Amino acid sequence: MTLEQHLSKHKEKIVGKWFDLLAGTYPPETVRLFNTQSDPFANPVGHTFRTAIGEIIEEFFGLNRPEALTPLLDKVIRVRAVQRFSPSEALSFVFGLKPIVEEALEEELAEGEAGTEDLREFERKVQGLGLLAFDVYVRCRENLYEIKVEEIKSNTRRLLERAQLIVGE
Amino acid sequence: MAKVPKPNELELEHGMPQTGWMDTPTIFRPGNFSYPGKAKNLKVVGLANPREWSPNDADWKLPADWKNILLEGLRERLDKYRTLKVYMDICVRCGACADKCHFYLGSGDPKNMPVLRAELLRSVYRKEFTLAGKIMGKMVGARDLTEDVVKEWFMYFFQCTECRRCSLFCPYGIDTAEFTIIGRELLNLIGCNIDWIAGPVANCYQTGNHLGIQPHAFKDMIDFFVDEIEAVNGIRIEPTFNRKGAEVLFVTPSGDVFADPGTYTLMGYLMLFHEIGLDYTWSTYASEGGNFGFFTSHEMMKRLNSKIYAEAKRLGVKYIIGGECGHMWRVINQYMDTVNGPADFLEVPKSSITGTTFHNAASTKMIHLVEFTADLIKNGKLKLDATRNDHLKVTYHDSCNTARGMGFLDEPRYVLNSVCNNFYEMPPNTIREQTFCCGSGSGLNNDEFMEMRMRGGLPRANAVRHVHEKFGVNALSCICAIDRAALPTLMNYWVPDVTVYGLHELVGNALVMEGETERTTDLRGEPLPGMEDSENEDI
Repeated sequence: MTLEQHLSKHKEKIVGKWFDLLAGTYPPETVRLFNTQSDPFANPVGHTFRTAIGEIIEEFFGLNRPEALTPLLDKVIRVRAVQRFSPSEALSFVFGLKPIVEEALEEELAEGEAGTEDLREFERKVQGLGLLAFDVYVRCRENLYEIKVEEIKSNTRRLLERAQLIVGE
Repeated sequence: MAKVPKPNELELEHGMPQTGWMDTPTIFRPGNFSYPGKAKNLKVVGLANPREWSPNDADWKLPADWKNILLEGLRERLDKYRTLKVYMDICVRCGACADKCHFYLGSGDPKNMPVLRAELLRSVYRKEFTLAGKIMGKMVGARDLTEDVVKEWFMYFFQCTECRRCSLFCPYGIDTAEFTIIGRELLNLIGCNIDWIAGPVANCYQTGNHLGIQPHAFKDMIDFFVDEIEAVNGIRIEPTFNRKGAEVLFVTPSGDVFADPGTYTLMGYLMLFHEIGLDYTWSTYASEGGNFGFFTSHEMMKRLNSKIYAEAKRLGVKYIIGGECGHMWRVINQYMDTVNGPADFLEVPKSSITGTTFHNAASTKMIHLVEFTADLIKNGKLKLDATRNDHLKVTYHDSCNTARGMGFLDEPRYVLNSVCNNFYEMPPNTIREQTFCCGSGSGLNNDEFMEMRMRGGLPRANAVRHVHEKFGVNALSCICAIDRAALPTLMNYWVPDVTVYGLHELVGNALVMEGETERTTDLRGEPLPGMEDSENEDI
């Protein structure tokens, strides 16, 4: 059995734990909201996270294509990029996947069904995911700076346009 | 030799502090606060304690007797506003409002829960004005007024857009926005305010509009739009300015005159009034419908609002029509008559085109353009070609003040359904009375506050994304100037394929005007459906 096959056995558990880890970076009141409100519009962040975490795991344990993972990571990171987190705090959840998976595979590791080499290979993949997340985070922040400039431009565009017309006359 | 940390000691703790709210300090970081009011702007209108300072400074240069000023200010307002006194005492902290605030949903910060935001002020009230609070202190949720409390007030009263969504869910009917309104009023007594509000207030007071644009430039900009309309459909419109004896005075937010995409909405106003032959005038004195005084103090709101009636009186009009704006309408609907009325020199608005009398405005004598237009359509006075908006799949954002504050729920939808064929509603708990704020209202639409604005606008954007993905919605319409300024930015970050339109821009697109040349483009110069191959050399 390959590591991927072992992992897919524990997928649901891993998704749950990874979501809890992500939610745990918010205050207890907010974690409660994330966990209890099922309406996606009354709980937009919790709902987005829960859906995206499942989708990321699905892709990551499966085909693991960067082009497919990028928009999925974006769903989570776009939110965290404008919240109170420092860059490292915003992305720490990605690396939290390593101990979660190690714990989930405890039995397989103990019984020798999965080896440390498999685990090391998996950790390398997580590092790749971390780098991809870094790209997404930076893109979101760049986007934030771009929209600031865009907004200032559109606030004054008409005036400048008019002023240039006057100068040209 | 220094102790070298072991690997496990290097692990970062990324959880939230587990302290109670009173013990969690307020941290100002770029992106979560707005720049403070500049001394020169405060001086223009005589606001207290003008000085150069920053929320990041340890010393906020408060007046020596700041504490006394705040407590006396609170005492005075508790006596003056019965609602405030009642709201202070009746909240049972049931939490019904807690998860209804867009800032809380987007940030996860408990101090953005409306109940807790109110508690920031209520805790001081308990300590200073109730016996239980004086004796039992923290046990009953009371605390001393300190400089740290002032900083916390500044942070969180300027992280609330006064949208009042929370009040909709309060079983006691507590209007939490009033805590913000009073909180900001108190902060203004000691000179703690933000420049995105103080600047427009000073400009509005001096020159009549937020940007401080002088009359000739104001007229010049509108003439510019006249040229643009002529290029689109060959019709030459001749608006008048400060004309005595006109039937109607038209007042709109100055954002429509200077900032895209409000400018296209303004073109829609010009086209509509021309087509129906309305006898109206613009004013270069009352050249601002918006009122950032409302975000400063009741007194400042009154001062800035007074020019509308004064100008209506000077020009001798019969009644006033206001353009698409949000908070402007809260001021007009809820306060204008009380603070600057009675407008007994005006008549109850009666449309000369349809004969409809707007009894709902019998006292203020001022109506919203959307109700005026809905009435025109209802009476068959407009020739509309909705297919001209067929390139758009439209949804509608209920602006907080016009929807929750005034009850304009059906009029804008009626107009929308008349001018476009593809209209899709967002989910029920995000529209009408339950609408989510744009996240930038009440004077918070400044660029330094961008992070918070993106958090605050997240629930709204989330609902837009839903209809974008489900129905292919590509246009977000609204009837508020702050929305038109803030939503394009919000969409740019969260749902980049959606463009923002003012309702009357869509009216302008669909309006078939007498004597027009063949329309090939919309008001933005984009080809109309089926006209993609046409060359329009004028655009």
